[in-house]
Amino acid sequence: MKKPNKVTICLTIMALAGTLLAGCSGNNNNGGNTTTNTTEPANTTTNTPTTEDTTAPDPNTPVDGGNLVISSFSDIISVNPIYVSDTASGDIGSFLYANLYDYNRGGDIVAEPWSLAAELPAVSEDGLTYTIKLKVEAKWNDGTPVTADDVIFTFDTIRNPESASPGISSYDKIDTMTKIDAQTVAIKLKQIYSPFLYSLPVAIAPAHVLKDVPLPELQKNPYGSDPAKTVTNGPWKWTEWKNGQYITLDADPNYWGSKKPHIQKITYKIYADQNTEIQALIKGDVDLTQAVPLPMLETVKANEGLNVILAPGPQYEYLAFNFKDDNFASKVSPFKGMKTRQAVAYAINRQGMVDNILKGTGTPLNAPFLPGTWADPGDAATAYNYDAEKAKALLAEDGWVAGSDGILAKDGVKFSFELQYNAGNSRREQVAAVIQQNLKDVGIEVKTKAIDFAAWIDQNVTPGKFEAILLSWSLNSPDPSSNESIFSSAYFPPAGQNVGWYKNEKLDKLWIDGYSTADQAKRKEIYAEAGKEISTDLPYVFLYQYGLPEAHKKTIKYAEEDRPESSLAYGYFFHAINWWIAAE
Amino acid sequence: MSDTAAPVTVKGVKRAVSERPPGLWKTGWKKFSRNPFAMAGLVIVTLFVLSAVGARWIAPYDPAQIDMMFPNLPAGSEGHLLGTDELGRDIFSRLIYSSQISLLVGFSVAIVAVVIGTFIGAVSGYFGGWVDTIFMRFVDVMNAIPLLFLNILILTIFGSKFWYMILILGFTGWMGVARLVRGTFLQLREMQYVEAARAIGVSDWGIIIRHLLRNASAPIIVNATLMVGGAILSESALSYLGLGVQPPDTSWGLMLSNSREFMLVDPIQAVYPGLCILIVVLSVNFIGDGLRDALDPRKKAFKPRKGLGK
Amino acid sequence: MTEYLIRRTLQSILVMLLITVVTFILIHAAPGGPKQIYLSPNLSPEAAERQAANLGLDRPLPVQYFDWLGDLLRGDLGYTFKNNLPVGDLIWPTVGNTMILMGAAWLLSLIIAIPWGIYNSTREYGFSDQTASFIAYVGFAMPSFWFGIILQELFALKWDLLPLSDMWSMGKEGDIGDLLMHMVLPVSVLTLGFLAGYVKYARSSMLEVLDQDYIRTARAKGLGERRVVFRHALRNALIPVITVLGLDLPILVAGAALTENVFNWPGMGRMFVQMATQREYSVLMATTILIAFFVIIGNLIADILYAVVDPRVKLGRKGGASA
Repeated sequence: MKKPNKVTICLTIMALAGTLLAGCSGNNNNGGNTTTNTTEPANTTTNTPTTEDTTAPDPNTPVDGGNLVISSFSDIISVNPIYVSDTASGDIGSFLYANLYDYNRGGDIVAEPWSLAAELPAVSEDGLTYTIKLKVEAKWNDGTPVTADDVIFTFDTIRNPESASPGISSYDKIDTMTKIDAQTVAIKLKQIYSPFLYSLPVAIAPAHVLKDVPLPELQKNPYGSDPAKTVTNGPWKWTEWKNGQYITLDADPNYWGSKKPHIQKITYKIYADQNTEIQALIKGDVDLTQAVPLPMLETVKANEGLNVILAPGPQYEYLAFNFKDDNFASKVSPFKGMKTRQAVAYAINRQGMVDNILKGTGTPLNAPFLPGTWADPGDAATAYNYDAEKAKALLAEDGWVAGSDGILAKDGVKFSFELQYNAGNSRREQVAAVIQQNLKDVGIEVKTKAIDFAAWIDQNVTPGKFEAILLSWSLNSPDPSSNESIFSSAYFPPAGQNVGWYKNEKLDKLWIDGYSTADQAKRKEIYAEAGKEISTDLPYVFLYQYGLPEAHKKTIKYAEEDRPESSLAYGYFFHAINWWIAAE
Repeated sequence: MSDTAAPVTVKGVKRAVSERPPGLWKTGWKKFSRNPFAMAGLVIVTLFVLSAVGARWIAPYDPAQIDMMFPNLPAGSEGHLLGTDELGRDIFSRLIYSSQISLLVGFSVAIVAVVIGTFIGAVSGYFGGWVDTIFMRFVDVMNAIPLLFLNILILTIFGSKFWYMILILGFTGWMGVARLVRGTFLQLREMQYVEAARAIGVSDWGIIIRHLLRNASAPIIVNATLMVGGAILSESALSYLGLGVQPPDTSWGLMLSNSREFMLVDPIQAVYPGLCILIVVLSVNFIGDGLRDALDPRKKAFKPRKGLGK
Repeated sequence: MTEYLIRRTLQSILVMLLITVVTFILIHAAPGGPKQIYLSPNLSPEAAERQAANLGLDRPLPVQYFDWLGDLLRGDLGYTFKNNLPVGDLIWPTVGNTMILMGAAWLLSLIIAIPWGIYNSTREYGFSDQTASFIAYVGFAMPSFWFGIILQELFALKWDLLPLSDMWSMGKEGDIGDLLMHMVLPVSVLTLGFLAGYVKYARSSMLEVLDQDYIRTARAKGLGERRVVFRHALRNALIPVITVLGLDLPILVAGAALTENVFNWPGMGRMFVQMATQREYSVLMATTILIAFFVIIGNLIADILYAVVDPRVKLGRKGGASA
């Protein structure tokens, strides 16, 4: 869910292994500044994965043509911007749709030549009204112009519960939207909400195609799953979807932007699992893989034809507790004691995970704020360094007593829970195994369970039906206000993303205070307080921030300013519109 | 087999037990012990079973013991005969503990399938009529559905629990036994000794259990043995697809599945569990074939004749 | 003969119906029932109720069954849960792909197995016979996916001689040469599996025939061995082989599921496993039923062929027809 929603939030659950973010924000930042824009659809017959186009003499001059083969191990569900919620659909959406706004490398909102908006939004004096101006030339690929109606339709649909859009929380602060002229829309908020800006780098759905579809049926509409019926407005258009096998996109010869894409064809190839995916990369069948599983990283790095891009990303992994008693067989959540949760945090060897599982591609994290940003509470947050003895002491203080089998119990209920995570993610499998072992050492029984990602999100995570989960969030925007929808008791499932049913009134209030003021110094203070509170009360055990190694063939070329950016959602395709493929 | 086996029991019924001539089992063992493949299989399977039973004492480490200080040690490292995996778990210990699950599944499934198959086959063959018709249609149904697909479907619906898998593999694997038992019973029930038993008032179930089943036991055992191998393979396939054994339990199939990730780095990790499966299934099949040769009287008559023929 | 055909056909239809019943019951026996399976947990209770009514899940089971059966008979296999795609669109393309793979492996193993088995029957326990039985043992005991992985590692990655996975190279869809290259490894894996059984089977079937009195008579007449084998024995030896072919159909399809997954072959087996992980029950049900249907047709054809080839069937089968 998350794609559209992106309020600053982004919560993206990271799917698979490496994969990424399910989506949050806008992605599709393509762009850049390269020189030529000759785009004659050179539609070369794409034979080999990499293109040929033998005529390019200088490898640093962009050439048009070529087929970029991207691997994935999950298929798309729907590219309809109102419903995109999984990484694969978000990936494809990032090529098919122009965003209203885009991010630059630093995570600021900008109107790029390929963005739909002509300029940055104008914010009124009172901070309530945002006026957005679209480019006159922006067109859907059926020739209809992109207008204010499309923007209004999209946001209205997402915020209407009837549509069951996952992005609802990003737009629930909207009061009214007014069409000023065909290209201009004014959005008035109900209250000051400084992070609203980050709800704007998103793709827009075509009102002229969808406006007559009853909202409850919108999700099942072929728009988004049938290439022929999916009208888009980005540099590439959707040509084919072979279910479970591949998706192909072609550069759109009628694309409205002043910059045209160099790469003529994109193939999104679906593999049975990540192992096959990486083997195909090494073999040369695939040009780009967004996330190389860590065990294979060395092998991929050693391959001379491949570039590996590795930097910490905007995501962190966590162990979430469930506070709702109904989810446990004993009808009592064992996680209710704060000391118990702290004990769990002490018992888990986070540094060991970072060193051995992440191979140094991550750092431990104590609170849900992107390290290094203004909101990072730093030392104000409590750090839980691995200490099994301290964990045991805390558990004893909280009333847990070891039974004859060595497992702790309180009031006749054993301390035993099921830890769920998604199947096929080797990092998470390993982390789950370490947690299981670490907690066993202090007398807590953990049963691990791997479930297919999509089914798991649908059936366990979104409705908040689990005992404990191992998952990650991606922090798409440097603004920490997104934490409200994850930790506030106003956001319980199924509508909200506080899937662990965590309630802390102090925090509930701090989150609201945090976005209701425009005074930056005050905000910093508030978030420092929130960081301290959340790291003490521990709705999650925050594990670590980490990066996903992206790998691509060296024949994929881009200017320095267009290189992939690990810290952005979909940053592995950053400015892909400016990339080109050199002859091998 | 029935023709030869039957007279033995006929005599058995009439004479005192102690006077029984050297029976099927005794001559069978003699033949079996002279078959080098079957004997080798027996020795190997026995070794595997012993190590599985004694895993606690044989395995040098706890198979789930994570040691992040020593991941990915090569085979022959000090203290780790076959090295360690990505989490520093001892591969040799994991193989031994995996054998517990793999063998348990193999034998349990064979037992479940044989019990169900024997019951259905016996009832069908003995009573015939509409009972037979119904059961045999059911066999047709089960045979028409590809079992791997059916297993995947059921495990997907009901969840992957270890003992579900045993039941499911058992409930979908009994058809061969059922047909075999039914076929045998169809022949046997016409025998004179059955009529004699009936005449002296032995109940239907008494006849089925005490007389018919005993005579059908040789082929059933052969079949069950061969089924053990099939069940081990099925378990490994399901676990490989992620639908079978779930961590922290481990099985050879699951180890194989995990090792795929390390194919590029350490392909040898995929070799050990695969070899274990191959060796055990091969051994079990040798035993099964050995039993068949030893217990199937037709075979005895068959061979010499063939020798003449050519 | 006609009576036999009719009876056999009716039986097949009955079995087919039973399979739909079994599948239907399975889905309805799932914990939480079909609502758990068909409805998104995101829905509010009222919305779920409405959706259940839309899907007809609140009606009596027999009504639901016959409705569903009616849809099946009309060729409507249902829609996927996640994105409402017609299930048939997902399944049909994979059927052909699986058939290409399996057909090739099957033909290849027959072409090798029958002559080899026959040859072995004339040279019992010779080197060739021993080799065949070694292959048979190993073929039966080796996990096919393991063999596949090892072939990939060696031939595709280490020596770079053959494609690693997939059916076509990118951009070469339709190029037969490319397809053949991609088929080498998976077909080898599958062929080994089939070969094992077929050689043994052809051999023992031939031996049995050679043991018959009429063959001895033929030999006694002074016919050459070659003539005995080819003119008299072969035809009869092939009869049971044909039956096995029909009975083997389920193994054909199911056996490919693992191989397809290892080699990323876009066939039914891979699709099935993918859909199982996504909990797309309507696809799983339809696929299961469809395969069962193929299998039953296969068996029916095998039986009919059997009856045509072997006139004794009419009598011989009467007793054991239902077995």
